Amino acid sequence: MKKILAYTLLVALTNCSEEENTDRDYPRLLTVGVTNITSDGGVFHGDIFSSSVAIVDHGFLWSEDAALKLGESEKISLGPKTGAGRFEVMVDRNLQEGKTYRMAAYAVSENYTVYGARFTFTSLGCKKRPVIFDFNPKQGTSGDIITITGNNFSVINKSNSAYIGELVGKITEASENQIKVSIPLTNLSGSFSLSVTSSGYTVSAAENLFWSNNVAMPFLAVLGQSNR
Amino acid sequence: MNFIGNNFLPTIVVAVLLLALPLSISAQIDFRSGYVVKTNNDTIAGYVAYRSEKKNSSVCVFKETVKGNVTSFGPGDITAFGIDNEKSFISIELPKEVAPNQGQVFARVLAEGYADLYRHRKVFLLKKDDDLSALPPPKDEPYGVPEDMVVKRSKKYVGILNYFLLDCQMNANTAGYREGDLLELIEAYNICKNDFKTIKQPPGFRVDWLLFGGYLSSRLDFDYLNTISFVGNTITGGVGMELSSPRFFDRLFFSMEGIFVKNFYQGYYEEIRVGDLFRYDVLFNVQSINIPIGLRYSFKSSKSTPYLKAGGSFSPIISSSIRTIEERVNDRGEVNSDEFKDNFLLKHPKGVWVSLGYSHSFMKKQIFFEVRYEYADGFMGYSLANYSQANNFNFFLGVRL
Repeated sequence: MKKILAYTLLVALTNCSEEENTDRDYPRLLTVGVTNITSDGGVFHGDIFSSSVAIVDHGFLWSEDAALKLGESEKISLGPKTGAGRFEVMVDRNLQEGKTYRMAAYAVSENYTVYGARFTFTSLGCKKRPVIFDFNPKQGTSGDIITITGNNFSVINKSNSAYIGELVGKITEASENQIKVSIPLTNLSGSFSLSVTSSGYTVSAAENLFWSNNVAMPFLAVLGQSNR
Repeated sequence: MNFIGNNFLPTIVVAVLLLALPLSISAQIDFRSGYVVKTNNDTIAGYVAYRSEKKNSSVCVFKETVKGNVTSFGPGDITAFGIDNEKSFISIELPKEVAPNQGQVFARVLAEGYADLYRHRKVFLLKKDDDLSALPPPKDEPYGVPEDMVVKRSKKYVGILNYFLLDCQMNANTAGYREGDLLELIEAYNICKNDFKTIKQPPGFRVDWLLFGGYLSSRLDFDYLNTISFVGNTITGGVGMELSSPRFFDRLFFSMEGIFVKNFYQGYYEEIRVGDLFRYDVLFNVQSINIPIGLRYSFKSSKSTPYLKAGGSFSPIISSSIRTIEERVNDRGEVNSDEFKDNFLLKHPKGVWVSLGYSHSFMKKQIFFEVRYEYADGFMGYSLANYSQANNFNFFLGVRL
């Protein structure tokens, strides 16, 4: 009898009640945080702790801004997921050394997009820098849209800058693999280098862009001057 | 498993009442093996009701057999009665200086021999050579003239005893007006006179230790700005101490326990603000020591008896953590989650409790089963304000060591 009671006492000391997760009509998730922050990046952790609906996509968002939203923040997608469970991924791009970022896990179901709590961390840099594979067309004039293909670009327009010589082009679209830039209005012409700065890292295209301009608009060229 | 659902609370209350009612009826009189001595000096063995000293001083309740008729004897009807191996009472005429109008009463026999020592309620009596003298209790009395009056503690019993003990060259100068002191003195005197009879007295104090385990089903209601109901169920374990004085009454115990409670409460509430639905899940882990202090009253003799316990409790928190998960749902199909930690003020709850139990002899030990209801502060609040209440149901199985 005493042994039984002593055992009960031991169980009482060590027992741990389980949390009961209530299912909702959307996946429920938590942002767990970031670990292993190095100059190569960091490991992002999330936890879908309850889900009774199909998850069509899940992953992480991060940005220097407080607001994190799909389409407006850096994203790493892990695709569909079945059921609840923890997930993690090494994020090794679009992280500038010394910058403070906010990150959050996300999950998308048919009817809802769920964002986890924001977690703040300071980056030590990242392994994968932006690269330019090619751009098209190779020659153009003011107002033309140049499509730059590459990798590890920021998906946030304002986190990318494109330079044609010393002039700043206007980013019209940005994705991880492609940036579309509008050639600024200017009266200059000739062969110019093309470079992209994304998440603080600058990369130049191997070829120059040939720029022919028949329209004389010196005042617009002044407006387009870069401060680099 | 939630024991405090809509149906469980009324069910258990009814069950406890149904259990308590027959017990309280059947346990009205605790008869124990004993005897009465009639006025013709015939001794009749039977069963004597074990009752408080106060009740025993005026009436003896007796039955010859277990199922026999109950008879009440007054001090004029019998000369003595007793409970085997526990207590014996004798019918005496109280000296007029103690109780001018009371006449015959029963007094408990403390010592027998050359001199006898009795106790009637708070008064000790001494009998020697068929002379019964009362030992007056000490009291404060004024001395001196009215202009210069002082109050002194009168200890006339010391003078009476000193005169009484003179032939054995003993004195009572250091004896208090207490059962232990006076008994020791009279027993020594009887030994000196080589005429003594050992009367087995129940111990003055007794400590019983308890070891028990149980199950706690708790509901915690938080009410400050928002109303949240938490439910937490867990296994508990504890130790206890019961202090009693069998010499005076062996069915009343002072009880103190320490119960380790490691519980997890989960609550939910929601509200609509600025057009969005805010859902909150509050997850509360707490480790505390529940310390119930109170009295246990056993209905019958200590070997097998139903009992009732009641008292107050205090539950100091050892450690705790509270996590709140917020989900803000907007009409665009977006859910923004957030998490807050330790966003509630906590306090050490106090409460009141009542228990009904049954104790039974098993392999030379007493095992017990007990159902306890406790109404206490919740853990939320601070020293000056209480924001929560807890309704706790405990089920214990334990052993008295």
